Amino acid sequence: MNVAIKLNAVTKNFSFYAKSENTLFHSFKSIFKRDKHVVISAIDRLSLEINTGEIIGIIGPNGCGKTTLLKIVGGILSPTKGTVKVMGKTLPLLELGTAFQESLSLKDNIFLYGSILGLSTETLKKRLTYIIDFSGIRQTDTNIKNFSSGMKLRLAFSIAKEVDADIYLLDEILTVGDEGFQKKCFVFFENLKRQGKTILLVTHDLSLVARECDRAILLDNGKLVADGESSSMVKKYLSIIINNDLKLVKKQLRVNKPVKELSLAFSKLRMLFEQLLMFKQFRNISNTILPFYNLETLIKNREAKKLFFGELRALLNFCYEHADEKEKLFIKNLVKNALQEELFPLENNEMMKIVVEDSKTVFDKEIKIKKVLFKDEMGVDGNVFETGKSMSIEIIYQALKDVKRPMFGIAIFDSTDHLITGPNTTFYNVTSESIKNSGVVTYVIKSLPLLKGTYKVSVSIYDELGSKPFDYHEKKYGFKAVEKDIKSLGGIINMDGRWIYK
Amino acid sequence: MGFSNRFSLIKQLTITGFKLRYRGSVLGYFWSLLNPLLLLLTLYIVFALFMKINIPNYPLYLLIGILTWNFLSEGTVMSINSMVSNRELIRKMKFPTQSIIISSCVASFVVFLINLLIFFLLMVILKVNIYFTAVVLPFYLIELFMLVLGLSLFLSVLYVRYKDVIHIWNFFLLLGFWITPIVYSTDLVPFEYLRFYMLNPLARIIVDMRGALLDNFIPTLKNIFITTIISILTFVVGYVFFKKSSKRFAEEI
Repeated sequence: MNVAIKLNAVTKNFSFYAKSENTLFHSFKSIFKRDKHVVISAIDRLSLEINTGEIIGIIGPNGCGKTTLLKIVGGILSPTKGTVKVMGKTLPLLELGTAFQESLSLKDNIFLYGSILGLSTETLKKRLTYIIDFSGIRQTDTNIKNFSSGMKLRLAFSIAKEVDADIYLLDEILTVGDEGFQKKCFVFFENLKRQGKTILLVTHDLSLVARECDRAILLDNGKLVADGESSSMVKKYLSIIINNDLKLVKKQLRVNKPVKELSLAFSKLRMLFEQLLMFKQFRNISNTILPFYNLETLIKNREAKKLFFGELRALLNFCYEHADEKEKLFIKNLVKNALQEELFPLENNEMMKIVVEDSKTVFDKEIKIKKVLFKDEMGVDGNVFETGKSMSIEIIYQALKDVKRPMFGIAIFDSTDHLITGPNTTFYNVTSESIKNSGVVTYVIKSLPLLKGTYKVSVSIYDELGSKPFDYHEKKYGFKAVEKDIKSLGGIINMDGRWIYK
Repeated sequence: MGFSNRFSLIKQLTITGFKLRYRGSVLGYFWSLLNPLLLLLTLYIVFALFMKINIPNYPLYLLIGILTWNFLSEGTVMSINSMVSNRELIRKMKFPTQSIIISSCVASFVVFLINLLIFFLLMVILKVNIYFTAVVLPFYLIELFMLVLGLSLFLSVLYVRYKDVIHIWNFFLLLGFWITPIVYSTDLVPFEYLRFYMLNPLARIIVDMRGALLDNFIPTLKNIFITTIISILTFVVGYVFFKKSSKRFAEEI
């Protein structure tokens, strides 16, 4: 085998001033007062040998030096120390379409971008119609600024494709753009493989690496952590992620106790998540979730947290629906484990089909919901209620053991499954210390604000932290609201407001 | 990248530069001609009418100086600016970076050449004799090009390292305009300072070029020798300095 790329103890340091840009004025000032000079080691003593025709995936967390490595191999950056030997022509495709000039025409841009990529004017003239055809762009006589980012991406790719190189350096380009474009990228990729080109692939899409690469390189903090068969490298990477998380969790624990639950839950969830991402058909979804995929933001930002769990729920449901029997079983087990380990916050259990299906086996029923009754102001149970009149929901429970401070909760949904309200006893601060045998908990609504329509109700009993369900009936109940005294023209609720003339 | 591809690249970058600057219209070019012409008019009013400078063919005398200076200032400033505007390109793509500077200088040079045509047109209109000595002009044009390119390469490297170079250079350009014989003749410079004054290579080039175009004057061999050496040296030093530093451009810019 011929060696295509050989890196010998390559180190790349970036140095800059902490506070300001480099100026002469600044250099002059620093004679009197020293500014901190920050040195970051992006690549640290990396030695590597890549053979001709190998497809190599480069994986690692953000900022681990993946792109820097590509830039060094591609000759955009030169190493601080060590030697780099590259046999043959490289084509670095780091960010497609960087060179486009917004105010120039399509044709001008093709010539410009093409010549920067190293194509001659003659070649470009010959291939011009083909390039435009391939990009699928029809408006050939407008300025490129009228193009969508997707169109620009397709155009850039169509041009870059014309360059003939020996070593291709691809940074996330197989995972951007719409589906049609991705397909084109993929065909291109497969062609390169067939031609026996050397490819270095940087991506966050681990399943892609596991599937398409012969070999993967795992970087962390600029160091080579492992190098070997791609799917085992992916596994190794996942374990690193989780370990990093645990470290962060431990750090958080020292500062902030309540975070504990969430942190542990999160790191386990993440593991679950990564396992799910290994399925190839879920590749597309993974891209939408990854940005939120950071423990710190989840802890700090409620919205991000909500989004994360929402996405997760969607992912799980989607996966479950599209999985075959074997995969279904796998997902079920994952979810079961997650539930047993109390990973999901209360409100997110509700819509999970998998959970509902398996609810009987999952819940530890120390206390059960025996019956749920809807009663009107006269205390008569039924399921049609009048807007503006009193209504109460009774939860009749049966405890098998002494249960300390259980949390009773209901959730009311409209016909399109939007949660309207989800009161629970903890929220109202009416938790009773301990519960034995059987009894009734009632939620009283003085004046039903819901307008005409059908509503679904979930009822649950959780432990005091709201993390472990004892029993949970998802949207098992429902009632109808009708209008008599109040006449509305639409909407969901009657807000008990007044109009005033002055 | 092979030679023909490099040539294609420079050509494309130059064309792009032109299109961006003039938006593809002839009118666009006239705007860039307007600037030196207005300067010419102002300086002519001040120096010929108010201060009564007595130089034959003063408008033409002034114009050739302004155009030459304009080429130097535009070429260098455009080169530095092209480093700014092509920042992302330098950071993310692999290509010979010097082609950005070369194309900026070529673009300014082309404008300079077109402006020279206007100069000759003006000569004809004003019925000034064109002497045989004008044949040395191409030689000076090549010298000027090398000088400006070398300076631009050098300044661009400095710019990458020190972002305030552009301000300092603008100041130098203002200063340089007045310590170069553009609006006045070197006769006005006191003799004891003339030696230092003539260290400015552009002073020699402008004096010789002007002499050849307007006064039927053949430059001395000594002057030709000095200006050639300085131009070549500026170019070589600038190019080597640029080449050496360009390895670190992607991270420093």
